[in-house]
Amino acid sequence: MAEKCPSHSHQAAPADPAGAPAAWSDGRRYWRSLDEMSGSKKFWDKVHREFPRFASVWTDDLSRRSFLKVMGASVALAGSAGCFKKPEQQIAPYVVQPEMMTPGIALHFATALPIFGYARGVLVRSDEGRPTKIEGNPNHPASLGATDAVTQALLLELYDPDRSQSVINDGLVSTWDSFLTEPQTGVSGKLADLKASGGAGLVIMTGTITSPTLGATLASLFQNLPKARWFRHEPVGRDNTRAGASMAFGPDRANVQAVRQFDQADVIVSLDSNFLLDDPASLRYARHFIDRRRVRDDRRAMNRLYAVEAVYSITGSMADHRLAIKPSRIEAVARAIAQQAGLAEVAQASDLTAAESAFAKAAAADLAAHSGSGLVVAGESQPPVVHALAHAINDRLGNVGKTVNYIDSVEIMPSEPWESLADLAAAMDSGDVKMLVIFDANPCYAKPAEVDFAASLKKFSLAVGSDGKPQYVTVRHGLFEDETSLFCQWHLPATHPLECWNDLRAFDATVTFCQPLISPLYDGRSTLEVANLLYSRLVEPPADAAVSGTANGYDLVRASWKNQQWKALSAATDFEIFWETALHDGVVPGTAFSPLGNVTLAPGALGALPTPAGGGMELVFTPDPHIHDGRYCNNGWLQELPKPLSKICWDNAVFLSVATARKLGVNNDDLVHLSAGGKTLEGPTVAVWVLPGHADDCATIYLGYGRTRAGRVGNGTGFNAYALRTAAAPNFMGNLTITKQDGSYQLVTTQGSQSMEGRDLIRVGNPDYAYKSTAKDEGSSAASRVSLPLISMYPETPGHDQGKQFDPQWQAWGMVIDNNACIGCNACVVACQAENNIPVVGKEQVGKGREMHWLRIDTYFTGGLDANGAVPQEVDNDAYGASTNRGDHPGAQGSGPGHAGDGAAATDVHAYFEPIVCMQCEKAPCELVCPVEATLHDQEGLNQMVYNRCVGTRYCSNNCPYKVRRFNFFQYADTETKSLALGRNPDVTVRTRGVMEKCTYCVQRISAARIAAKKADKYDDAGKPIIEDGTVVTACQQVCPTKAIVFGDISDTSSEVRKLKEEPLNYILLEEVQARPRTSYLWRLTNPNPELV
Amino acid sequence: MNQDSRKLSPDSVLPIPVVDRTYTTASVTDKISSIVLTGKTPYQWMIGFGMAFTLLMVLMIAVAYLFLKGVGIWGIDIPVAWGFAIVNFVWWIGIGHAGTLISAVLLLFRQEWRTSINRSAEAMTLFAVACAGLFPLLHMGRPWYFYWLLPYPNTMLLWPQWRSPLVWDCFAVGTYATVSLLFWYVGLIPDLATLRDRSTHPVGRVIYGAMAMGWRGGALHWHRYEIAYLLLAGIATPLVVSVHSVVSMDFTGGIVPGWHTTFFPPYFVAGAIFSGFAMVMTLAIPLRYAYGLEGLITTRHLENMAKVMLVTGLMVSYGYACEVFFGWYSDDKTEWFVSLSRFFGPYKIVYWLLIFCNFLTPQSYWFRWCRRNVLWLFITSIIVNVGMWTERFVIIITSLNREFMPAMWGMYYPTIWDWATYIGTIGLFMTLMFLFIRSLPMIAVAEMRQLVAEPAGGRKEHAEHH
Repeated sequence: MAEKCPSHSHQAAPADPAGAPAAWSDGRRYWRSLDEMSGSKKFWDKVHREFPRFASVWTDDLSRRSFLKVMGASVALAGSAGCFKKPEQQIAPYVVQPEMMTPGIALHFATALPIFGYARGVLVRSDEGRPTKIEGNPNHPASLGATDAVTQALLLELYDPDRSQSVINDGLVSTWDSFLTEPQTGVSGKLADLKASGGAGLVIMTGTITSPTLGATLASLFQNLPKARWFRHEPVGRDNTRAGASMAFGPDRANVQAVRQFDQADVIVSLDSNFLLDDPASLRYARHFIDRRRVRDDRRAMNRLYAVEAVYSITGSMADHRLAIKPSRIEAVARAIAQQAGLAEVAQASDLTAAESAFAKAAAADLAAHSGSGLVVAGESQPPVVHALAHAINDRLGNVGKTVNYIDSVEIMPSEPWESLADLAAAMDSGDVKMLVIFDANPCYAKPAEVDFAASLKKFSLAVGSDGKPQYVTVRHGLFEDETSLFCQWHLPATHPLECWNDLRAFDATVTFCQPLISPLYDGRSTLEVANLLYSRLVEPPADAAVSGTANGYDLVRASWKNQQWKALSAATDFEIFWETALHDGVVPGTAFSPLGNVTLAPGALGALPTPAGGGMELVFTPDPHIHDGRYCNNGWLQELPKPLSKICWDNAVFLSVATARKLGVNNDDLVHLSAGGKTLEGPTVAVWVLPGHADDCATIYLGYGRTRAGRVGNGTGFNAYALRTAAAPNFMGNLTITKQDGSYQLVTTQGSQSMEGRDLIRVGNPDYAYKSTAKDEGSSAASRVSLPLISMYPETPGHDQGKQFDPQWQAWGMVIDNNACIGCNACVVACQAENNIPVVGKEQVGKGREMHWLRIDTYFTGGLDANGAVPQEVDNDAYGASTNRGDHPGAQGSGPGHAGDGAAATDVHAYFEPIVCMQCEKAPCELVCPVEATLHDQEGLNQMVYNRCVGTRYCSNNCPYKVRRFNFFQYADTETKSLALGRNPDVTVRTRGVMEKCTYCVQRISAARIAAKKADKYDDAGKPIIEDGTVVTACQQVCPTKAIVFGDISDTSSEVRKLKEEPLNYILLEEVQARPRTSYLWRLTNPNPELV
Repeated sequence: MNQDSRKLSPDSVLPIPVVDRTYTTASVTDKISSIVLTGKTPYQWMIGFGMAFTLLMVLMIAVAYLFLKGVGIWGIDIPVAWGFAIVNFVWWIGIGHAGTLISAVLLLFRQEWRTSINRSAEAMTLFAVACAGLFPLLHMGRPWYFYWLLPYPNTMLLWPQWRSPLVWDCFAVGTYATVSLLFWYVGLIPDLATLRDRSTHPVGRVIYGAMAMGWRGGALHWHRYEIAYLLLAGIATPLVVSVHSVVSMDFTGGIVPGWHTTFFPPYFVAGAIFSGFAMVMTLAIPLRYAYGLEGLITTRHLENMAKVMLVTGLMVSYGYACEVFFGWYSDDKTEWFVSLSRFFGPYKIVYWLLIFCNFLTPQSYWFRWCRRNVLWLFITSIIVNVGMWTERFVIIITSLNREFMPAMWGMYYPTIWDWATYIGTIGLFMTLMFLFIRSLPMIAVAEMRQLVAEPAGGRKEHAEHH
């Protein structure tokens, strides 16, 4: 177990200290610290062990727990040093009550958070001025009221005690004033020089920018300083998408962006696109996609998704037909689809396999039959030609304008793209660069393997001019002091998106004014403010030198919009009204770009298609579904969130198909070494995870892990995939060599077995089959589906009269989860974690089976489906190597890959999601066995958990057939780190050691609604307080992009949940246990093409 | 009856006497009390006690660390939320049963041969219950609230939850501990008076005197004593059945596949007696050797115990067969899966070890040679002790780790702290045993005198039936 885990400490020293130029070792006092940095091994150790207490406990058995405590202590110390603003002590009530604020009543504010640089509209809950939860903004086009896991987890990032807290100069705490004016290193002089020289040698590096205000500032800066360069660094950018558009529509149209209308699409073909997760509009797409699949008794039409991909993505798991092939083969399939869909001029690959051509044929025929309601989507990881083919098919079949529209680029682009980090490094080495300002990007970590940017940056930062001053200036502005900050002279702390004013555009260019929810916790400034600071020095002199030329973000955003044609956007006569309305709504109306009318294929575009290439074993690089390119690596919520399908957390791994793993003779947790190009490129030694459904003869690795300066949560997790990722092949590469190494590594997963073991856990089939099978079920009346008939002689729960199903005086809360709508995106898991103050327990505890998530998404793999799209009755699940057996030993029946059978072809593997919450059983087995009545039933049918009364016998967990209860084996909740306390939901108890906990159906929200109803004095005839359907929304339900979770009063015959309970496809999990759960499920439905079955 | 009839008894009826015939009432008293009253502590005792006490310190450390950190130091998790603590609890409780059975049940059935082993068996019961009682407390997430399981008046007007088997457990074990203590103590009173009278040390006289509660050996005393002892035996006898039945309901009360079966109570009781006799054997054999008590704890005792073990061993084996049969016959997928998982699953080694220890090993007791070979008995008794521990492990762990939802299957690996706590309670048990041997008569002096004086008394006919 833990002992097997190799230490990561050796990875810490990033560069060879011996390479330090001798010129710097002359001991000039000023350079002392950097001098040491470059020369001394001891110093490197010190850098690594910057928190020596942390470093020494890290290898310890209980390391993560201990270190969280240490973290708390460090913050407390930091606080005493004055870097941490303590919350003010209020001992008297407000003399003047702040407007709208009632202590104890949360407020919600609309804002937007940048994901991939694009706005994701959110409503942020604020409790007494502390943001405590991030929820979706129904007004926002990219949200539609939902959020994803990452957006929600930005809340934890705000309170991360590892955030950079002050200006750092050469490793020492400094100030913003010193940054500008300090005589030796201050940048004022350099900025003046640059201004005089027209910006020659100035390089500004940013990530993706969609902010109109920041974009305008930068545009104006570069206009005034024509020699300055703008370098965009986005490790997982949209280069292929742009190149594909350029190929299809011509170079002048390279920047058009596709906006898809999944709500209009009946047949969708995904060419390696994970549009349900990895897209600025993924929440919207997921909503629209699932809306077209939602089958009810009276509406049985479904859309059909064909997916061809290498790694199993959540989009692939929703596909009715999925073809798992090597990434380089996808182009061949795309060509075949294109040709059969009517693009005869497309060159064909000759070596299509039978499965590939059958798939292409069926998909093309289906697309052709649904002209105008078909949609082909290409994934960013595919080469431009695949994008061009997708555009061409959509164009040819008349889908453009219906299921897909094109708009102008939302991203603000440099006029002259200069996107090679190698070029920048070369320019720095040659002295062409004088000053480098890095906003947000982390090029020393997320970089092509062949570029040693850290070395260039180090040399650049350390260069000393003849006057003894640093020759160049390097400035880093960011939330964390990371790998890049280490080699920059200046690190400037950034404000978190929840701390600053900004404006951002969504995928369709809709603007949101982003407002801060809290004043900056530390001494940070926003990107906009720092950019403006530079602008004021480089272009216009500061208005007031006394304040160092800083305008605040609020004024900047307002000024920018006051200058723009806001009057065209609003009927308001006054800017303040426009501003207040837009701020309140979270969107600026009318800012979405209109579809471009004349996007047509460039003449001869298809004739110029390059022919497919590829070969050997391939390695796919894909952003981690949670920590993305590594930027969220220090976020405990995201680290502990099980990755979709594999359910791994705290690590990445190299995913292999069952057959490929068997061929290589490797199994889960084995270490392998990756190299490419005949060992010219040495990658990391990585642990293997066998992922059923992965394409054969290729491997996948998530980016974002193996960081050395992410912070105390992220350091030392996973393996650095960037070591193999070259600028030439950023998405997948060929000729991979996988060499088995000795030893193993413990990967941890939250799911014990991913095989259903022939049990009736997720019901799957096409609608016809599903309705037919439910009709056969005896006693499957609507009433019995709402609540099972009593078959026990034991009297009903107190409050439930015998003979009456529900107590008329109380609500009867219940939930329906639509397995057909769940896309496994994990948004609900994080929502639950944030709402219910669920602690993060760390890798070691997860490995022991002690994760605390109240809501989990069970993911099961099955083999081939029968003609009804259903899982055959007697399916030998073991053949698919789906059993991971948390722990390790292969189980009695379930076995690890390498056992039983040859494994199904990757294409025949299907994955299903089933979110599991507490079922709130009416006959709860847990209640019966608690010796102290700490868990008991209430009148509304909730299975309550009284933390104060719990003595921790854990019998309730043993007796829970659904295993939804979670136990505090240690004091998991970090009650010592002050900043974390700010983010907690004040309505939910923070649990202590030795106490059982579980999903409560968000009882705090139910209570709030009941209290409100009682205060409003609204009762029905039976004396039940009237709570309108939809008033109580659980946290998981609220954020679900596909509305898979429905909650409400099942005794109310008009409620949505009641109607779903009465659906024939409603079923109860483990019905035979007779626990009569209040949570039930809807069938997972498939819509297979009869041609392909 | 009289001496003569005893002499007339042919060897075929009483092949081996329950007391060496050379003993007289006086020599019995001398022999037993001298072990306690000697001024010189044997060095073997010192070594044994030292080892036991060391293990007790291991327990102290393990418990201190447990209270400091929480039950997370053990290997338990979700789904296997019960681990060694409950395994050990059931194991220790089971061991205790032989004491009560030997003392109370055999007393009621007038089995004379019980006399020379009942005292140490009762002590064993008491100490085993003490060890067992520790575990439910230690295994709680918040042990400082253990008293919430008891019905006591409180300002919150809260009572325990009577439907929970854990509450019944509290009462069953509490009753058992109380009755066992009383029974043991009442039986000790005449012997304490003997020690008081024979002790030469003033402190010993005061302590034994106080504990003897003014026993003078009068006829009225004997009369009251006999009635009280018999009554306590009557009370203790149903406890042999009830305690382990209630303990078994800790499992049968749940819906966990592998637990939810009706035959657990008798099966658990048989298992308890099985393990209890094994433990008595494990303790008695070295003791009789060390203190030269072969004349008092004779081969016949050991042989009788082996017979009991053979019978109860077959009963538990029948239980194992029933579990499998019900798993198959129920046609319940999860139930049957648990059976298969025991045979072939990750813990199959433990299961087959259990079958070896508890089913195969006792079969040797069909043979007289095995029943009378002291070394073989000693070895097999230890094997059975291990086997009964693995039985509880199999019931608890292999049921929990493969439950209804494959997604939540998980493994249980004991940590060093699991082992330390377990081994530590063995230390506690042995420490108490050593202190008992040193300070109290390990064989009931008064009863032995009776046996020597009137061995062919009215009770004897029954012995012959045995």
